[in-house]
Amino acid sequence: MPTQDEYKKDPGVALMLAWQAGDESAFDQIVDLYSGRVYSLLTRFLGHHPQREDFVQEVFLRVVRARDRYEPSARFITWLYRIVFNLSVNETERASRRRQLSLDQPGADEELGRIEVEDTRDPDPTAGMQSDDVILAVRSAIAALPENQRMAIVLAKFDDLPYVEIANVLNSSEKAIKSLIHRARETLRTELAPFLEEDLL
Amino acid sequence: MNSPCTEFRQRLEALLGGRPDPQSLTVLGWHEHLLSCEACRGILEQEEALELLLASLPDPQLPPDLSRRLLLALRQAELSESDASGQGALESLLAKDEVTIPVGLADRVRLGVARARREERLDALLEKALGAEVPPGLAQRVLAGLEGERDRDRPAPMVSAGKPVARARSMNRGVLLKLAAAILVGASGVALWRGTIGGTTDSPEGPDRLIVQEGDGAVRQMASVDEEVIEYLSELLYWESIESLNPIERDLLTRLDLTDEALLDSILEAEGS
Repeated sequence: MPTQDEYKKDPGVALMLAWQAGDESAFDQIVDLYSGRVYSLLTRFLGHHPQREDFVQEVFLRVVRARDRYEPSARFITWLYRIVFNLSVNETERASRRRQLSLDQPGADEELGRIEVEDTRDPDPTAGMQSDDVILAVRSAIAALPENQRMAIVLAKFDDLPYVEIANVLNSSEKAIKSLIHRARETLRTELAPFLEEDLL
Repeated sequence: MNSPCTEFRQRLEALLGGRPDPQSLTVLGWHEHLLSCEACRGILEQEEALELLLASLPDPQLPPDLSRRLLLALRQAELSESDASGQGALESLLAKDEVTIPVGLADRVRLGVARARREERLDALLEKALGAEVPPGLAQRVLAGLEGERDRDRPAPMVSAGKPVARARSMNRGVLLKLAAAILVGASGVALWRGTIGGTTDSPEGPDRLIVQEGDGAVRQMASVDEEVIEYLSELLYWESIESLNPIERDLLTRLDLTDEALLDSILEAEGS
């Protein structure tokens, strides 16, 4: 387990401590360095949610509020992603409650909180043989995973985070993360079975 | 699952961490276990295909100028959270930003803050204003005084009526009645307000003691006690001279300068007398 001094070598931690010590420009650099990663993670986790840029803002607002009491206990990105995860889960729960409330009024609020996977295809010339339908299917399958599994597999596959750090983000154990990812892959293999046939790839 | 399968799948899972990398799995395709295990061969093929699918997902496209817009938004959010005149940590940082801020934005944000915090400020103002009007421990002293007076037989009205010369300030009698009522209504108002809106405090001397002392059903009882207090003092002042009041009652009335007509007028006007 790295010590607090070792964490201080992490660029994000160093910037956070510099900002804490009064270097206002350090926060500028933090936003420059990490806002894109936060945005990408939110997009992968929540789908193309119309308010995800607001969520990015909310994440950094929490960083601002934590300025005085921040203490390095992990890599900065891990600490930041923990904020992202907590916010995302709250939003998912809130959206779920809103959907429950709007059951009597179909369509009243249904675009809020729904994981957007339709009509938001990123034009990607490098997609090669993958059709938009396949991309949508993969996104839909990921979006349908339980939150913990979804965050674990997104962090592992798209952010290259080691299991021990994913465990830190999800406030869980490394063993539990392995199990989450194993189950997530099982579900994905089942849901995407039509696309996993050899002749389609 | 037999042991070779377990071993194979553990090796497979060990290669599945990190970014999607179908190539890394190809080495497992030569594993001798696959020659005799169709199930594991199927799993490997599916995992390779899944890695390929995951690798094919395009990265999310970042909105243009995300950082800059984010900093601007954070600045506004911080303003919203600070006082109307607040200078936040981001203020100086973002002052360097070259983006032109819409004219009047700060004023609009401050206006929004003022609206959002209206209730909070109103509470603080009420506490400050009303708290300043009530002398410390007033309600407790009034109640303490009443405890003794309630049990004592009141003098017969006719006896006191025969001593008009004892009135120190006959011209102030009506005023005093109203004043006493006004003070007590004010005190009870504060006590009620603190009891129902502000909650009780830990101070044993505050007006809250009125409610605490009265126990359960405090608000309803409070109103009842006030009526008794006002009625009692009204009767007392009607039949007795001010000199005959006990120290607590006199203290209540002498806290105000009765020669200050402007003060009396404002109090009586405020109480709707």
